[in-house]
Amino acid sequence: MEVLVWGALVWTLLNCFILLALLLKDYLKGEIW
Amino acid sequence: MNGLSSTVLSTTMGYALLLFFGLLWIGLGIYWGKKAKNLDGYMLAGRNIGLALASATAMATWVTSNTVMVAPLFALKMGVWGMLAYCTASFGLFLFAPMAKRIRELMPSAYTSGDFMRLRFGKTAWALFLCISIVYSMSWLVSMGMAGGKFLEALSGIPFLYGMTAILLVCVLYTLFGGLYAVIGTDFIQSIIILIGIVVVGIFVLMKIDMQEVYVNLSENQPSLLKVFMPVALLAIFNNMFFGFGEVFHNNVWWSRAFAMREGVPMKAFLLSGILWLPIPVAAGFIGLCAGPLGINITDPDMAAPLIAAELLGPSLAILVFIVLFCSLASSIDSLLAATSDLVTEDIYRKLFRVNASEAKTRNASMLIIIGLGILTWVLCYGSYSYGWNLIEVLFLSGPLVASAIWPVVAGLYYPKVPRIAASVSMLLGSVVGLIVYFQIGWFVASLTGAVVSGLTVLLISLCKQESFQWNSLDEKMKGTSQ
Repeated sequence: MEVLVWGALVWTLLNCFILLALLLKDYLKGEIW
Repeated sequence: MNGLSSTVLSTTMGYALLLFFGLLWIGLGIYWGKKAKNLDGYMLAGRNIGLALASATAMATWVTSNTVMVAPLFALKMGVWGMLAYCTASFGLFLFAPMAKRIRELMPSAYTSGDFMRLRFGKTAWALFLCISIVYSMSWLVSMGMAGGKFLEALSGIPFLYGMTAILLVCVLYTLFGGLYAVIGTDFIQSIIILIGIVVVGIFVLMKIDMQEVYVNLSENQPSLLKVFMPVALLAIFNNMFFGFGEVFHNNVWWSRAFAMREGVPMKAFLLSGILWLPIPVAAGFIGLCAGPLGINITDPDMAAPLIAAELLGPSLAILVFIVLFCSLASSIDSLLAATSDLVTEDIYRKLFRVNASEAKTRNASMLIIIGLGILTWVLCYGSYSYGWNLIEVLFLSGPLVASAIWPVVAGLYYPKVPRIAASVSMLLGSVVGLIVYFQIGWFVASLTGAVVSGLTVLLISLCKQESFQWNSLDEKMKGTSQ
């Protein structure tokens, strides 16, 4: 169970970085909206 | 620790946080609202949303108060499988991804899911669909309004009525000023806050407790919570999955996002949002498992997670719990207000009452409808609170209704031979049988029943009668809207 919880927390943190990286990419391409 | 007689945060701190974030969202709503130069801008954010904002808005909308508060409740009541059951709600986002791509391609100038039902299946199915969709959206809004009032009261002692009113007012105001631009822009910031908040709170909870101890305690005192084949939990998995499919496939919250995304983005964005959402019920839900082992007496199950987290972490980190919950609620309430207002504006105001309304008049109508929805939600929240309805019951009562819309939407999007009558009969039968099962057996099989009955009905009618639908008739150009 502990592994499951830690896995979910690390995954959630990674998602945060993914979103920020995508925003930066969209910004550089002028495609935010 | 036994019971929670006083609040973790002071009432002054609660009001200060409410004021700060309320002003922030309203300010951003006004700022982004300036981008909405026409009706497409106000209702659909210019139909040009990129991948980052598109993924974040889909994820944030799906992270509701129910994710942060009901996932721990599932864990509290149904153990590990209850928590995992909640994760299956993300499958709806995954499956909607190819549908969103098709919707964007087939209907480049449409506004709502109601447009699809009207053009594909005719007015009877459209009317029934609108009833289902509006009932569901209102029950979702009410469940979140109530959750908002309850969590503010539980964490900071702000009276339910004041807290619920404040949250609804903030969301109504920034949605009103900024339209979908404000909703999608704030959703991105709220997504980041929610993700970071859940991780920080989760790590601190893990540092405070020994999971091995929790496991041993559960094994001794509540062994059923760790069983793999806990019957109610297994039923809940399938039920929750079909409820999730129904919610995403039919609701204009998701359709309006598909219309708002730039060409080529919808499929990627919905797939990514599913991946982003998937771990959250576990990351937030495991806190519910700690109540028993830690000896925390939860008097209100809906408040399990915030109370456990706040009690474990103390006032400083309880502020973070407060902010995460506030963002979770706001990101869903704003989306529902905008999408439901679009549905009422496009499908009722513009299609039934003011066919030739100008863009300016339609936008004014949309704004008035947002205000009206806010007031209606407030009245229903107050009523629900007075009658003591359970949060989970309000949420799942609409389950069979939305589950009955799954197959009409899927069949309508992909199979041109499915006849018009199949949609209305299947939605009606699925809803009625599902509701009977809800009251006679329980919520944990109602959505499943609604989906199965509706699916069989679509299949049987399609086998008996076939029509030939032309896909290009879904591309309805906007009529009579010149300013």
